[in-house]
Amino acid sequence: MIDRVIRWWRDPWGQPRLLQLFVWAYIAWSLLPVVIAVQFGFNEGRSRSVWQGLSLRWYFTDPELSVWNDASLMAALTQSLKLAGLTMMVATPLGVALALGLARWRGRGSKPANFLLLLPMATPELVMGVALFMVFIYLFPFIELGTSAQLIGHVTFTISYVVIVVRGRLFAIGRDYEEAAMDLGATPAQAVRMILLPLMAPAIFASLMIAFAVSIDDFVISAFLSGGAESATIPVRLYSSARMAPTPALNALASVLLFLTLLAVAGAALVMRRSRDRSGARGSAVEEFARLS
Amino acid sequence: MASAADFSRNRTWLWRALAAPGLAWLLLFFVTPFYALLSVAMGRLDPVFSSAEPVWNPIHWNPAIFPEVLGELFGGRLGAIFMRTFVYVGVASTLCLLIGYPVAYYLARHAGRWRGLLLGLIVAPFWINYLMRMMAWQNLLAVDGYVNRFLMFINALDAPRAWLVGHHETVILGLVYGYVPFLILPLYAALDQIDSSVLEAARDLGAGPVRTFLHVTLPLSKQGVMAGVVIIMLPLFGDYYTPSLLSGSPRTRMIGNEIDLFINSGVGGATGAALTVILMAFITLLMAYYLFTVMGAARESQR
Amino acid sequence: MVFHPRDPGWRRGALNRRELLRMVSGAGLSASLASCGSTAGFATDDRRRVLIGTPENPVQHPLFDDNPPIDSGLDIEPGPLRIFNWADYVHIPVLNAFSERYGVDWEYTTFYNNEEAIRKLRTKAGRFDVFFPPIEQVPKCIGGQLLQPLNHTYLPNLANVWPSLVSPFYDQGARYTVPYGVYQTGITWREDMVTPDLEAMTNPWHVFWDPQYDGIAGMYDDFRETIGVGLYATGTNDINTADPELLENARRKLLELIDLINVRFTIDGAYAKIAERGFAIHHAWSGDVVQAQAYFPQGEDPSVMRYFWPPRSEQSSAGGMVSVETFAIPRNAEHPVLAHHFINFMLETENALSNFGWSGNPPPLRTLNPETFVSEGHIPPNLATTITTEDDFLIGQLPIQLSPEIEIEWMKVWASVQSGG
Repeated sequence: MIDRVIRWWRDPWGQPRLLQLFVWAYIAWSLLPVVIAVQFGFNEGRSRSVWQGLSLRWYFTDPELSVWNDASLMAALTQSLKLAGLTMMVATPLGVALALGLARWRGRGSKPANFLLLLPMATPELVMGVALFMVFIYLFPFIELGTSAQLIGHVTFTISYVVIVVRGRLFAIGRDYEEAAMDLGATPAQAVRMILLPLMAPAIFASLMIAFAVSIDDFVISAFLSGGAESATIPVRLYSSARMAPTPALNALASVLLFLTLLAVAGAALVMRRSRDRSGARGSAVEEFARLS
Repeated sequence: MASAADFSRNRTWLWRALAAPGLAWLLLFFVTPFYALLSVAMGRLDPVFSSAEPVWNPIHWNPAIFPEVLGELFGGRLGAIFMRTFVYVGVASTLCLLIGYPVAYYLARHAGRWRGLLLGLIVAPFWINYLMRMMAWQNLLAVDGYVNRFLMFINALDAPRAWLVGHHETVILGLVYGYVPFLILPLYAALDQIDSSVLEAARDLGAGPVRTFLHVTLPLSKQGVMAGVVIIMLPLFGDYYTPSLLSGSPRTRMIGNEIDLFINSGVGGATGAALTVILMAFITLLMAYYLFTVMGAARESQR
Repeated sequence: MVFHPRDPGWRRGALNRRELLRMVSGAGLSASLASCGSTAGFATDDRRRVLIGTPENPVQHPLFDDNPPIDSGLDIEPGPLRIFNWADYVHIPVLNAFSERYGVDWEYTTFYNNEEAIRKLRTKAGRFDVFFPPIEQVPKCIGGQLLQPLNHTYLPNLANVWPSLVSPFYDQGARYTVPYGVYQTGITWREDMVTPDLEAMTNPWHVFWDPQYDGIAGMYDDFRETIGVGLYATGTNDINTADPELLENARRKLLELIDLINVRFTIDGAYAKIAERGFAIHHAWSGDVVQAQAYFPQGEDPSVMRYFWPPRSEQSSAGGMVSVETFAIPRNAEHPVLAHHFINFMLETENALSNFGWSGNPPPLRTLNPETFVSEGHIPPNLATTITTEDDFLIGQLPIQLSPEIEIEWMKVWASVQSGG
């Protein structure tokens, strides 16, 4: 037995075992805590650190404290969903149009425009949060802090993600189809509408999902632009409750969030993969998707 | 037949029109806030409400706040937290690199058919809410949590330790845990690009695996390393929620916490805004340095 | 649970005093953020003057031409009465009783810190009818034209108020404010976890600087209160000081606590966390200590709570903060007559007592006899020391509004203390 292990370890055609072990250990360290956190959402008792049995009480059955029954937890859930939904509706059209415009733009101003696009991704969220807070307090006080302000903040930093997703797809598509359409007499706008947009559909769908996922996970911007208990999102709620006596209902709430995000991301990945398969691209879809992250 | 140039020219108005709403949005809600930040930082203190008020006209801006705040940061009352933030970011980045590099290396060079799966697992944390990941550690590091129980089981601890109150190591653990996935991806991308033939050439010339790594792989991956480190340093400097969640004590606060404090205090709004501007300036310098060296390296490698 | 991410206290613990469901069980509650405000930003009015009264130099705030009191003899408006206050600050049955008597609904909007409150009043978002400024914010509220002068013909019960507070130094003649409750800031502890002998100490505030309380001691996440403790502990009773040296001494002293006892700054430490054994000893508002009883888990005995206010010590000359919570009516209130009636209603002995039983801060009414609070069951015997009397105002120190430049210095000291160095 030991002999076989040693031979496996020393196999000259195999991979460096120590490294391999390290990587799997890393993955375990990286993901197990979250798995355990999800697990505690199903805890029978009130503890978030001692397992006391399996139960759905924090999700549905506990009459006061479960996610289903606690008004403030449900409010956080609905606010997160509402904000993410609105963000994806606003950011995607803006971002798709921006991506199209920037990709084809050859004139003056395209370089600074490209630069402007990347800035939100390079700016730390704290800086963005503080700056936006100042804007809504002093410059646009008619936009009260709360959902509207949060929406504006979310859209602002999500646009860049949308553009990147769409741009990749645009380069893959190339100009041939448009040129063909133009040769056949279509106006530029018609070509965009009837040819390009349908071809970009998977990327558009993917960016909807990504905008949703990015928005729903956001904390700093949501926190700074929140107007009170009503506009607290799930991450904001997690942050506040962490300092008070939290119950596993928080774990349950976070698990719901996790589930929704993974659903969105999986949806995006699947759509992208199917579109790539159809266009005959090679390589792992996961890889490409990872590059987007 | 229309040429490519005609093609573009004919439609420039269309592209501009498409890009306009998005650009307008960014100008309004991304660029303007920075102006507001400067206006508040160099603004005035309202004598009635004791609150920081913006001054919109740049001619009337009062830059005296910057030397004042810089004075507090370098040796003044905010000196300790300033240094501590640097130390945390430095230690956390180094640890992230030490952990992330082997993982990225393995992924790029050795993963083979597992690559897709591994990549998926490694990228997963991106899509798991950061706060949830920290909350997971709150559960594990609780006084009666698994970490304490495990450590006592292997006799590394006599009594349970209060990990979540004022311990630097807990905060650094949180920061590393939080940001290492962000380092692995760009590193992986860079390592992936290294042409195997270069490594084979080194082997053919008689270098052993270790020497190949040290003298070929490592230098070639330098750009990726720098990219990755810069990518995580940016958010690391602005992090304030990790110390708040994993340690309730003033002992572990970072500069982001102080910015948060000033911004919410009404009277300290200008100080908070000034700190934010200084933070942003520092980060821009970091980025500029990175771009400079990267451009320089890229240009060199092309010769 | 109510909370606000931008309030520092919110990150340490809830600012609310009761769980959300208890609050929601009242009728007519709508914790809505009224958002039908006008668009005005921060207008500058050069007639504003901020008059900061002190006990030595009391101040009578002027009446402004463009902000006259309402006429006498008007009928009440149909409502609803809009209250703007900290979370869980007014007992819901009392609000319901008001509702019944006057036939109007009530709405309760909460704020989570003073800055937010003042900002909302300044931008005129919401048009609230009753507001509760603390006395150290009263001068700026009046000078900033956020409050309207009161018409005393609607407030006959003003005669119930303590003589010393009917015309207080911060608002002589009660032109803009009426006292709502009084409280002190002292030290609370659990007798079953620690037994400090504060009576015997030369400076009771030094109790915190004792390594035996490592990890189980807390202070308020409030810069006036905690820097105040630093000042008391370094031998000065001037808690409104502008002296940079005194502030620096206080800062250094407070910084010692971080390594000595791993101090934590909370907002709910003195009621929620101490009841759960999260703390053994904590900086405390007298009302918090009374409320802590409700946070004890089932089956545990709340009579282990104790409270001490240093000025009462015979061995020591250390001071302690005592203060007043006030009612006021915002300038743009939509239902000012109703608001006046509400204030008058709250000054009725019975209603004041009912509210007191819940909030823990006694109303300063001379129709109430503090001696009876324990015997009538409003305050448990172990917490008799939390009762604030008129005499306490002679031995304690009141917080006064700081000028903007001084407040900035205090804020920097606070930022330094909060940052551990």
